[in-house]
Formats: sequence, structure tokens, C-alpha cells
Amino acid sequence: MCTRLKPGRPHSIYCILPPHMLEHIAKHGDAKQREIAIDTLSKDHTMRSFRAVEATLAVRRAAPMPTAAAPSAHRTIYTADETETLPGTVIRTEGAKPVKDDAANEAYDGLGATFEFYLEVFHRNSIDDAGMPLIGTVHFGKDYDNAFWNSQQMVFGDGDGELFNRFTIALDVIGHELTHGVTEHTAGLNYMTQAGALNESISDVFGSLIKQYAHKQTADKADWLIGEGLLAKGVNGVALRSMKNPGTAYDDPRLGKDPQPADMSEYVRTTQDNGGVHINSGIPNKAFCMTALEIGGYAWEKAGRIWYETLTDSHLKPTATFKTFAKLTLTTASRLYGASSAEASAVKKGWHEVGVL
Amino acid sequence: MHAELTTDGGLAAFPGLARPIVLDEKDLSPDDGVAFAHLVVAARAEASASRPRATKPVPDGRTYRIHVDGDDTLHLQAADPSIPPAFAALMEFIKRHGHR
Repeated sequence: MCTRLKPGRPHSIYCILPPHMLEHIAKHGDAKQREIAIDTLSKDHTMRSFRAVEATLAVRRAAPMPTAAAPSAHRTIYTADETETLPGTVIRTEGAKPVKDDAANEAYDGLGATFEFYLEVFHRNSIDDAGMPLIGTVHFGKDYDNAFWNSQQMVFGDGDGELFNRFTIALDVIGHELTHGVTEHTAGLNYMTQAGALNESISDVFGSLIKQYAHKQTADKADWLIGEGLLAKGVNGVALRSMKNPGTAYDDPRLGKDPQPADMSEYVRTTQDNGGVHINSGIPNKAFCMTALEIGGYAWEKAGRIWYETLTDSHLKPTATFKTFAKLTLTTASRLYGASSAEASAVKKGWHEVGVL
Repeated sequence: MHAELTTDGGLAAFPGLARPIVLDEKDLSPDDGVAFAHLVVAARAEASASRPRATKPVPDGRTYRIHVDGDDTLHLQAADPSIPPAFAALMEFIKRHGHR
């Protein structure tokens, strides 16, 4: 930040930030900012800055500024005991030791990993950015082969054992469901047609990033599969969806063939599935995957940041189409990294590859 | 009497699971046939007693539709997580005794 002049010249060191600005930060910034500003000011030997530093240090020594408590997860896991009563019976609470129930422990750990991801990567305090408690119910229904978010909590079935394992087994699925809550508290993307497919894609994107973050995987090492481990033994498939190669996750006589398109030329027009929200999500999924691979490194750092800041941008409306979302990611990338940056170029390339831009 | 159960939505769109499950009364044992008839009557009564209300789709939740053809036609619909009990019982019966 500051550069010293040539030796012998009794002048203040040159700073990009003028002393009065550093003094303001030293008095009014957060703990980290104050520390940096005071250290920077302490290198300036003029009397004017010295008095300001001394005054600020005296205040620090006398009464350290109170800091807000660090956000932390508040998890409660319930069991529905194979009924459909929600939330059910409490089985594990925040801070409690693991229980004998694997599904409950997986849900607990998955909620924690998702909370940590949003907090550490995007400084988001839970789903609503206001410390919303995280609630999950396991053992919902009998042989229930699904999981969903009902605006208040996550709900997980045990699977039927023939086609599906229990739905808490996949961290990205847990992250996917919680991210529906994040979308609900931010852009509020409508759950139908293209806006709904974007809603689904956002959940797949951040579900996958949560898994990659937990395993510290770079984009090129990630599998880009959603729900790996969910399909039971004997099912011809690897996951629910592939973000890297939409349409290739399974091809099984009972499940059918993965119907996801990989680009706009294969967009599916249907009245099923709220207008194909789980089908056409393959297109924005692939756009994100391609963007992340092009940028390289950890996908949550730049590609994830671009997508998150787009999701939380007030210009993103609940009725967004693929094209409006894509344009907004490009605007976001340009704002963050520059219009001619490698990152903006990667975003453009990702959307071009799937035929949206 | 003939019944058809279709399931829409869920965490993933599996084409195979979107195919309806069908059940024909003539394929049932006499006892099961009686049970089927009772379940249809109960589901019909439950639907008549409750007020239908439009609900926002729950992300990754499923919608279930039952169509029954017989002396009277019956159309029923329910969605996660609120499946009425008589509907749920009829749905389970169709799943257990029907086929795709």
C-alpha cells in the first residue's frame, strides 16, 4: 500500500491512501481493518499521524471494541419414523454427539457443511443471511425415494433400496435442497419453465460447489455429478444428473434414459415437471461447469462468486430466462474482473457453448 | 374398475418413473377387489369433504394424480408434503398391486 522514498529524505512515506483516510479506518473500521490501518500508520513518522495512532492505541488498550458474535449453525434433525408428519421427533440437536442413526448424522453433517460453505465463501449467515435455524427431517414416509425443501426445512426419504439409497447419503443433494432456500430468500426464481430450470440449476451449482469445497477439489478434479451414490446397486447409472455431460447420468430399464439436454437446440418443451425444471436445468448447469473449467482452480472462488453475486443481484427477477440470467452473469463478471478479463471471457464462452448467448 | 396413478416432479425427472402405474380390478383377488373399492370410496369422500386450494409447487416435491374409471369417474390430486390419508392409502394400494 505504501512505498518509502529514497533513503535520506525526511519526508512521510508515500501512501496510496492519505493519512486522514487511514485514521478514519483506524477508528471506525472492523477489527481487521483497524489493525491494518494502525500498522500502516505506525510506519509514518510525522507528528500528525503519530498522535492519531497513539490516541487510537490508547483507546484499544483501555477498552477493546466489542465484536459481534461469530455466526454459527443452529441445526435440529428430526425423524418422521416413516410417517409423513413434519417435522417429527427430535433426534439430534446442535452440538450434540453423533447418534446411532446414519441418516440423521449425514443430515447433521451436511447441514453444517452447507452452512460453513456459505459463511466462509460468501459471508452469508445461513439460508436467509440472518442466522435462520437449519431443520432437517429424515425417514420421511415409507420407502420414500425423494428429498425436498418446503420453505421451512429439508425433508429426506430413505429410498426404496431397489432403485434408490437413502437421500442423505449425498452431500450435494443436501446442499442442493438448502440452496432452494437461499434462492427463495434472494432472487425468488419462479419454479416453472426457464426460471424454474434456473432455480434448479442454482441448486445443482451450489450443491456441487459445497461438495467440492468439502473435499478441496479443483474444478478439473471434481466429478460434476449430482447425487452420486444415490442410485442403488444394480441401477445402470452413476448419479441423478451430470453437469459436465447432461443426459449421460443414467440409462436404466426402470428409470429410463437421462432426459437432460446439453444445449438450447435440445430444449425440452413439456408440461411435466413444472415445464421441465429438472430437465432443462442441464443447459445452465453445463454453462457453469464449462465456465469453471475454463477459469480453473477452485470453482467456488471465481465462477461460484460470479453466480452467487448474480443470484443476489436485485436485477435478477423471479421470471428470469436463461438469456437474461446469462447476460447478468456476464455483467457481474465484467464488474468483478473487468470486461476484457479472462473470467468474463470464460463466462461468455460457457453460455456460448450451450447456445444461450 | 380401473385406476391410474401418475407421479410428477421430484428431485430428478426420471422418464421411467413418470409412466403411470395402472391397476385393473379384474386382476385382483376378491378380497383385494373389495379393499380397492373401499379405498376408492374413502378417497372420494375425503376429496368431497375438503376444499381444493391452489398451492405453490414445493421445490423437488412431487405431485400425484389418481384417475379412477368405473361406475363413476374420479380425478384426485395431492402434492408433497401434504398427502391426505385416504389418498395416501389408495396410492399405496395402487403402487403395491399395479404395474407400469
